[in-house]
Amino acid sequence: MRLKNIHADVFIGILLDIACVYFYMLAGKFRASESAMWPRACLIIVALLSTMLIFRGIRLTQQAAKNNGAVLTLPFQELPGVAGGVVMMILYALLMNLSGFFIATAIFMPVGMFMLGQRRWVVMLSVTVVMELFVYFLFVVQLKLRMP
Amino acid sequence: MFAEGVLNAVIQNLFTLDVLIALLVGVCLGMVIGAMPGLSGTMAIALLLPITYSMDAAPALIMLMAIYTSAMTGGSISAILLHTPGTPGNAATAIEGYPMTKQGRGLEALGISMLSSTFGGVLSAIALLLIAPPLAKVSLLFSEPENFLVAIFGLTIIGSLAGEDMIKGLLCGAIGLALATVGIDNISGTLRFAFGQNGLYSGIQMVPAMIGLFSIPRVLAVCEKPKEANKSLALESDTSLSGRLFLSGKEYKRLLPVALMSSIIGTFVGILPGAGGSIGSWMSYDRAKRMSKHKEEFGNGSIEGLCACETGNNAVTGGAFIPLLTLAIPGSPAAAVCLGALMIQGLVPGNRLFTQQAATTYTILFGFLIANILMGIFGLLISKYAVKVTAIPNSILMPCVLVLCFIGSYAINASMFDVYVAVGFGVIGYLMEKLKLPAAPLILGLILGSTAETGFRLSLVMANGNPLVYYFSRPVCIILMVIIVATIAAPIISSMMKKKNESAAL
Repeated sequence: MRLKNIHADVFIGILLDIACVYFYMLAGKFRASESAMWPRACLIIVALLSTMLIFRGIRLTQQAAKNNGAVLTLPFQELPGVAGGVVMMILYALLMNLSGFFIATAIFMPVGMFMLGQRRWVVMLSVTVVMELFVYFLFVVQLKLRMP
Repeated sequence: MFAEGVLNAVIQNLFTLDVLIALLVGVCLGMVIGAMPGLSGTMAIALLLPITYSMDAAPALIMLMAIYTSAMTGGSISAILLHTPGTPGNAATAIEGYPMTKQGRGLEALGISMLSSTFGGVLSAIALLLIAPPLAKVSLLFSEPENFLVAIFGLTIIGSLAGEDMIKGLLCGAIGLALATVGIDNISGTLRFAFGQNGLYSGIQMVPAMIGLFSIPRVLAVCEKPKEANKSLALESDTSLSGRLFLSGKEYKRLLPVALMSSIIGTFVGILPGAGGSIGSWMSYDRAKRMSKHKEEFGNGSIEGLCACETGNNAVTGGAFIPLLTLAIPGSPAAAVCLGALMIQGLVPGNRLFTQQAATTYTILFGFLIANILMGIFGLLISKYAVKVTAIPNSILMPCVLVLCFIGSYAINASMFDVYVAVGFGVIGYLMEKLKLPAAPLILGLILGSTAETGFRLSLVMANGNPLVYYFSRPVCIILMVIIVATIAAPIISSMMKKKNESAAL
């Protein structure tokens, strides 16, 4: 059976079960043992529900295979665009950390708008300036926030 | 209902510049954001949460509640004029509103929508004022075991109602509970799952998590098809408006019973935790159709149908705050975010809100009532222009949303770590949306996790080694346990019965 024909719930369940085992073991290393009781109880519930999800995912996969139906799959088709978006967000956050909020935003906003298909430079620049001024007056002047 | 001193304080609090600005900003922003398909009231509340930090509790909460109710109304504008519901709660509105626009009665539809929304919102606010204070007295019977069970009750009910899938709802709630254990343990002081990160010592912050789960996935969804991000809804549709704004007295008389019935249904649905505006709207619509003498008009621009949907979804907003303010159980995802806002402001749901903090609480409740009235007036004035906001393409809107997400996350502790947390939760939130995992139970787990854990562990200490006997010796605990079991079992039994009936029919 090909990977894309397997219901996404199976992968979610497996991933969560692995995470539960890891965090359960990690909880064993807590300084005070009573602190581990509640997290472990939560992890056991997550693991049980994840296992139920795996079994249901397998059943739905088998049903879909029998009826030639479609299953809920991991969103691979949309991945390039979304990955681009995530990379942009991370770069913006890193740049904010390095150069400060206002410089990072002055670079990110026009680039972001351009990547989403906006081509009118006047609009891009004016929106960026308005946004910078809005954040400055609200967060710096009013809320006295120490900006990154 | 309350002491004269409280009433005086409420009047003084209400007519301050802060509150009036909060009301205006909340109503305007809610209306505009609601009119934009893809942007929800929940997202707007999460985004504005950091701004409320420096505000007093009353204006902060009034602004957030005004956004919640106005977004629901704003959503009807695009539903009526563009056949695109601004929020999920306006889906039924499009069925009756858009045909009216096609018939050249768009303005009339907007008028009905604004007045119905105001009617539903005001009645639900009155219900909130009347029901919440006596219900809050129930919380006086609560100690640690009951607090634990109420937290679990909130989670189970959200798990079963927030999404279509009970297992996934419960799973997300449990993940939220597990995530709430990150950081220093309240009781023993032990550091848990912090991985040496200073930013995690005080746990996962609610606001970046909320911003990540509710706002960033909208941005990532636009990134899926960047080529379509520059299109604008309004420019693609004919949004020319004609007709009258107000109906005749005879027509309003015809709508009055529908509005009353829908207000009751909406408020009741709102009280049920997890059932949001869409359920209130659809149930009211269905009831209006059954009651109507003009059934043939439904689907072709029925004024009764439109009135029912809009009254129903706005009545949900007030109803959703009844269990929230009394028992800390939110009635909808937006109310769950408001629960976070309440806690940030140091307001703990329960009887204390209506006794020691009565002046602030009643200011908020009366503010909510005024917000609903203001929303109607404002809506009638601007609704035909508000649709223009849908002309703003996502290519401009989304970078602005992301900037606000980042600065909002940063503002809580002036820490870049929170921005990274928001990005992480944003990616998780996007994947959850794609994989049909509901985000609301996760947030609720994160919010209620600490209360549940403290309640559970302290009740074990109070039980002196015999928790079962202790829990079963407390009447309120028994009632809560029965309710929890019934809440979990009801959908399972109903689905089993449905399957049995289907197989019997075959």
